[in-house]
Amino acid sequence: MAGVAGGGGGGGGNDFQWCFSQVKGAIDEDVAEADIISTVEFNYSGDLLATGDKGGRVVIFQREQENKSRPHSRGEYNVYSTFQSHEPEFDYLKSLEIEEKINKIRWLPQQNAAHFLLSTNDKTIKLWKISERDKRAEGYNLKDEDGRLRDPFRITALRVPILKPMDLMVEASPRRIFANAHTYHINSISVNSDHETYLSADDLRINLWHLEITDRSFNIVDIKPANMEELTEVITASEFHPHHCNVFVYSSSKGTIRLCDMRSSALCDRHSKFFEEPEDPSSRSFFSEIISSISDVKFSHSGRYMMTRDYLSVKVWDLNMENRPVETYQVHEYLRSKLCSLYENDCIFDKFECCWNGSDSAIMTGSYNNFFRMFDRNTRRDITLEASRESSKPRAILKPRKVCTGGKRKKDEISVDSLDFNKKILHTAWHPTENIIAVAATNNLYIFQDKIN
Amino acid sequence: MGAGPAAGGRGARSSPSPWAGRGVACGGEELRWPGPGGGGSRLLLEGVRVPAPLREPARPAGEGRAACEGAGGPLARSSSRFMLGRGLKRKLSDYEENMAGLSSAFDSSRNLPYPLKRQLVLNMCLTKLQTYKMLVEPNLHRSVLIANTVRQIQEEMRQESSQQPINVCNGIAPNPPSYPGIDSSGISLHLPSGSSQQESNCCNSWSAEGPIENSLLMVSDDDMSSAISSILKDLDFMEDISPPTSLVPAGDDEPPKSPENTCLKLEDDRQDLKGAECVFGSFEISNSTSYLKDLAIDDIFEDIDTSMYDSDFCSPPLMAPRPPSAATEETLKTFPSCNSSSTNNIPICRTDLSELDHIMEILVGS
Repeated sequence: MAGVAGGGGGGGGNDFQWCFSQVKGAIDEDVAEADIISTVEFNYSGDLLATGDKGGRVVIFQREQENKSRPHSRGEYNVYSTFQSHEPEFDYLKSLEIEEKINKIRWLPQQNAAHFLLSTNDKTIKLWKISERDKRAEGYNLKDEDGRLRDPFRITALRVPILKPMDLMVEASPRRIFANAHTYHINSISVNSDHETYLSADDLRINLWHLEITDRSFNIVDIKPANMEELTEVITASEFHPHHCNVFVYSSSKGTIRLCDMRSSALCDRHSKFFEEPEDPSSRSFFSEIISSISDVKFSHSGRYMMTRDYLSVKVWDLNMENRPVETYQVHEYLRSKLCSLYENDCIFDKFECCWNGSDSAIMTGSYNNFFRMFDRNTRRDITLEASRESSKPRAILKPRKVCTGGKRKKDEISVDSLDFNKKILHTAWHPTENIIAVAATNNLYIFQDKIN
Repeated sequence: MGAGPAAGGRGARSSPSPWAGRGVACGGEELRWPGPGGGGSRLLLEGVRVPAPLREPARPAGEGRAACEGAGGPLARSSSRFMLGRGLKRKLSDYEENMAGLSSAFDSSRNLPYPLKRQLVLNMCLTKLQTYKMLVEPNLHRSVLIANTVRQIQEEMRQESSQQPINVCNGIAPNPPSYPGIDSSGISLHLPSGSSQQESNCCNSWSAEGPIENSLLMVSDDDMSSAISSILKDLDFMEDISPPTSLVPAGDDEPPKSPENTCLKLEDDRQDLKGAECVFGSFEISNSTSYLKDLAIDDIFEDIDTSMYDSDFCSPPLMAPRPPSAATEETLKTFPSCNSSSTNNIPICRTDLSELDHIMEILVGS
């Protein structure tokens, strides 16, 4: 069955199929909580893929150069660097533990040989520099090869040190630490298109930082009421516009998105645009508000659209139209009749992310039972795939999955009651230019590619 | 500068190996940890990682699948897998099983009457809020969503009841003035009026220091309480309790339906006892030096002897409505918050009012 086309370099619309490429991570049934992946992000070129986990570690994969002798396999992703980004902390003032889980990673555009990324936990953002070292200087005058200082009296000649190649070493060093700016838990960071500033958002506030300045940040949104008892809404996600450095959006727990222009005022509490879809009275339930809470918001690469993910659906909005989305895709509508159970076991609060492909022709998001869904915006076709070890043969084509909602269950279908709600795909990423996707399934990272026909 | 370079170098080129070198410490230059707890794992704790038990209770019990332990229902199988949450172990396993069974009944049955469904959802919401209250740092996002759901349901109930005035009184807890030592009027604090009134009252009922049982029936006016009472009566969840010493709520023109039922009146003053702090107020408090505030509230009740009452902090209000004095006693018990024996694992060093009194009593030899 045909898959959903990703467009990439313009070949969108052709039927193609997704194949398994790689899986990273341990296979054990017993998953250590620290190994659970909490964020996935490609860099701007797609050559690097970063993951963060609950243990505060960042693992970066690099794509191998294409091998001429094996033209069928595209470059694989192998471990490039691993480092401990955040440690658990204890706030003694408030007697609170600060989790080391990496909430978000965002790459900076590459400006020199080194790579930079921002990683954040609940409270602190860090700028990391990842650099390669593959040369070593030999022939120092003042010290020996093993580093000991030479006796100055023994130095009779002067020589110029020579650079010799060495085994490649990848170093990660923290260059900036942006701390103490958030009282509540950081849920988003977003690098501005000016490549100099970025924003960080927690439940009630959004701060603007300069990448060079760590002791100061500007508060640009503050929705904390004077009386906390009146709090009814929190910020759930925020992102800068990809081209306009003065524009950003933030989503709320009430299903609304506000677009703000930093030129209009220093404090952007008053939005420039307000996006909200009127509620459908026929589908109203006790859980309507909870499932309307937006868990992720992403601008399209073109900057003309944005996509929001709430519990049951993905919506594409045209920035020029505020009163309703232009497209709505149901991710797992069969869960609508199970909302009470999902509320009881807290699954209803799961925060799924969503992502665009490079050409904005397709979108992807995760679901339960290690399913993930892709929607082609042009053909309106959708497909459900599964990230599982069973379908992990090299270049094996992924078979579409289907959930049966009632009545007779056909062969190969899975019924709603058999879904495993512990296996949830919250984090996915799509290569910026090619049809390569990275899907985080608990502690495993799956990489799928399209099959070249 | 070769000082401590980081992390795993390149792994084997050919094989798609699992993570290499996980947990390798980062290198490079000296890390600066300017945060308040920062350097905590280095300087203050002298390089020792935060011990595991300290971390246990910090997560909401509802996170991950801890909520589903032992429960039935189609979605409960998640509990047999790994537990994502490190939350509190709840003592209400029976209650939870009932709830899980009820929630799947909610989902599957079309015949459940709407008020029953609504009450079920309301109970679940309030139970969750109770659980969150016990935590060091409840999840603000979830708490807001649940609180909004509760408000919405109560608003709906209020509107219903305003259309059909049923004045059945149900007693879960008595009037505060009946409790010795408390002069409610003396402690009354100004509550915000207007539209936020209901919200603040709603919030007050499940405040970090609020009464537990009454949170189930938290109402801001008598009509709503009557409506809820009637619904509960239909659901047969109520128990008859001895009539309180207080009067019928003001504004009630009709006599109670059944004389043996006590009347529920939640005065504003009652909520004032909690210092007008709600679950969101607890976020406020946790973000400032809260100890002083707590002490001030404790001082109000230091002359009250609560050692006689030894009721369980965690009992489900739905199942066992308390005798009046115990209910209010729990009000006081929860003031220092997280102090009962069931929450020993929470590493908050706050004095347990009733335990101190109990010890004092033993020492005094009464």
